[in-house]
Amino acid sequence: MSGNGIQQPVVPPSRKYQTYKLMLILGIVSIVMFFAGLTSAYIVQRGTKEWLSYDLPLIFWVNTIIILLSSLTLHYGYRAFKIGHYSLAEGLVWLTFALGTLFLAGQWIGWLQLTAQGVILQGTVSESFFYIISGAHAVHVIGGLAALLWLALAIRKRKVTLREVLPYQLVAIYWHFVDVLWLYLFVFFFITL
Amino acid sequence: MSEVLRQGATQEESHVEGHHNGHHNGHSFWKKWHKAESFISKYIFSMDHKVIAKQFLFTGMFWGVMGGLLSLVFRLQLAYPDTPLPFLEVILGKWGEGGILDPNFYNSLITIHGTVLIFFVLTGGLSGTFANLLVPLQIGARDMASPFLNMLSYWTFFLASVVMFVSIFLPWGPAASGWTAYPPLSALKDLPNMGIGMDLWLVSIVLFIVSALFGGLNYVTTILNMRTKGMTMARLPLPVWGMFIASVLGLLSFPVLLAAGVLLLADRHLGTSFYLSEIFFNGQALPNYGGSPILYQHLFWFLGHPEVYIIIIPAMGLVSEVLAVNSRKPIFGYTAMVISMASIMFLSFLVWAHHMFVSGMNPFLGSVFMYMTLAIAIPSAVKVFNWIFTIWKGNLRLTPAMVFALGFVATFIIGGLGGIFLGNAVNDILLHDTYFVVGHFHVVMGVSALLAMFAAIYHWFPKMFGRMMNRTLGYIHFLFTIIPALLVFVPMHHMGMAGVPRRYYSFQSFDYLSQWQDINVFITIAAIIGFSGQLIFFYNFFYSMFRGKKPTSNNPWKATTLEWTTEDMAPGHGNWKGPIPTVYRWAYEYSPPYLKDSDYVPQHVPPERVKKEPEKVTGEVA
Ligand code: HEM
Ligand SMILES: [Cu+2]
Repeated sequence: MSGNGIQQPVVPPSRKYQTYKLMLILGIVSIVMFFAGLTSAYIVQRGTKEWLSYDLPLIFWVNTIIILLSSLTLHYGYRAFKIGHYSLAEGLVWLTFALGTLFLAGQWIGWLQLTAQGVILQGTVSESFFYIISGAHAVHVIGGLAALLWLALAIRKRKVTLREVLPYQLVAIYWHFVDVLWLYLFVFFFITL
Repeated sequence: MSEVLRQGATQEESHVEGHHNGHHNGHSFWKKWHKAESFISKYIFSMDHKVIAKQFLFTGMFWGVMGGLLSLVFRLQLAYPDTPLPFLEVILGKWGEGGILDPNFYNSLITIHGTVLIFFVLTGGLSGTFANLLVPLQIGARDMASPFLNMLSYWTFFLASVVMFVSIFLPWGPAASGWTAYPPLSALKDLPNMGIGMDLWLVSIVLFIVSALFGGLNYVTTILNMRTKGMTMARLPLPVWGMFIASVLGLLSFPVLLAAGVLLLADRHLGTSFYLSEIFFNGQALPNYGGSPILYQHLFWFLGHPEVYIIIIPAMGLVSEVLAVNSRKPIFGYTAMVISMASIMFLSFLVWAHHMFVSGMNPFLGSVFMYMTLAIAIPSAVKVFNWIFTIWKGNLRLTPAMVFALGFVATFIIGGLGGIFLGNAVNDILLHDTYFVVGHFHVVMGVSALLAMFAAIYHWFPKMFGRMMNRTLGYIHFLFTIIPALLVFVPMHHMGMAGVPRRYYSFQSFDYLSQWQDINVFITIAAIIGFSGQLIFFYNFFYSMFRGKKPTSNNPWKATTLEWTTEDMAPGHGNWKGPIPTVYRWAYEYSPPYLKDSDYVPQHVPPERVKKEPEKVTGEVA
């Protein structure tokens, strides 16, 4: 990766963990601001009289449970990982990946059901907002899935092991974040719609 | 640390050897290939912060020229609205048919001019360059926390540049919505110049935001986590503080612009109506219903206002450093400087609606924003006060950098005073969307940030290129910058007070405005002179890069900060050959009373040495 000649450690090993975690957390703060921007736009528009309320299909409840479960599997994967059960850890990461994919599929079905209900993207602002915000969240989930895929393969090749736990921690922080983010959005829509 | 280093060095040597052995007798093509490959990784897809700094600088300079040229074209239109200028057809093609500028293209010109100067020159070019150059060098780090992300940050910026550049030359015309891209105009893709050009504009801005976020993540993390031993936050040089605060500000506000852009793209292409309601277009009612263009204004200015401080806070930091070094005095009120920057950052989240006083907002809300806005004058005044007291009775060395830094302080005061007028809602109702606003922000942001950027370039040029820039040309450049700039923008304040609206293609059909025709000619001539003055800078810059005088010492300005302790600026060498110096004091130990022959103590000189032989303390590498 580095073509710069000397391979001096840019980040001293003692600070590596702190550094990359900090960077990820700052990135998460930015993402939070992005969704804060969208949801506050939603709240501002909610005051207008052209606002349409509708019920979210049941499947979004199911999806919420699925993504919460996926955080759990990733967490137990980390526990296994920390005592050196790499195969179990890998399996649980795959399971997390599968649950994440299932979540996305569920969201897709949810959007289809909504459309069938007559709540469409091109409808009033309250309808459009749901699609755009949950769609933006889905994009972040896709990023997380890519990271999970990489992590599972890296554990299989034993590139990520007890000597190098940082990648697992970083992926886990991000995944728990998209999970909590969905929980927030779901509760937000549940209360405000 | 030094051990790790030495290990690194031996590894490197063996790596290089192995590399060459493998191909020693190979075909000469491969030799060339390898040369090209290492050239590419060293200077093009480089992960070295010093190279990336230069990449940002050159891209910023390119856009500076571009933005300047665009402004000359629309200035000519404003000065000679009815006179055909045949060469316009030569350079603009169908947009200048018969030598008359196309009115839609006029809008495109002001849009691209504003966008590239604000985002590509004064944000990317200024912070990108000097955060990259100075953050690792001044805090004592081998590179950024993530060199790879840093490289990505530059290349997404480059991509944003390419997209914007391409959009200018496409036959459909570049975006014509103004740099603020207000809907409904920006949301209707069938208007002239608002089709593909506007889409590319949005794509370019999205890429730019991504680049700014990558950069900001790196700067903040690097500053928090990678300072050398002894470099506490309270000892950071002010440029680093400036970059830190501006990056935090960017991390919190750019995502909101991204949100605004996403909704705008959806309105343009997915048929949503976030910003649209009850629009009649070409005699037909559009189906869009229920949205509000004011929503966009809120989202936009939630970034838009912080953005102006994302530009100016790093500039303030750079100028503080140049002023202290060249006054041979400690910066006055270091802590106050930091606190005032931080409070400007904090307040800048609470004032965005001062751009929207006439949007029909509740007057009570307007007055809340008004008080918040006027409160920003307090930390701003603290800074001005501190700069003045830094140079007060100092042993001033009027280097070109110093002159530009003084120019910054002056224009910041002038432009800031205009801000106080605008910040009062009652005044703003009259002044909004007039040339007063144009004058205000060009003086306070455009000119002063540009002067700060020049100050920084003149000051750190020896660090970047190992040579000095020519002094005389520097002074001439300064005069040819600040005098035309004031001649251009001060009259605009007067025009604004008389009610001349901004963003008009021509004032010919309004009697009360035609009296400003002579002033418009005057401004255009001043602008041409000011632009030509920049040629002096470019000549000086490129000539000095190759032929400039070599500095007589490693520390030509006799500064205390760590960047002057490195000898080797070749990329990839981790900045210091030996261990990273340890820091023992703050960055502004100039003319302390206990020194006799020297007038500064560098941050890395141990106190024992200062005590034992105070006459020998210099900034040379120990
Ligand atoms: C005491 C400080 C300041 C105050 C009270 C102030 C106030 C204002 C107000 C009220 C406006 C809106 C005018 C209108 O559109 O009607 C404005 C516009 C603007 N200000 Fe300031 N300002 C201050 C300092 C600054 C600084 C330091 C910068 C940049 C570094 C800046 C950059 C701008 C820009 C770019 C605009 C115009 C944006 C546009 O409409 O295109 N201002 N200012
Ligand atoms: Cu503002």
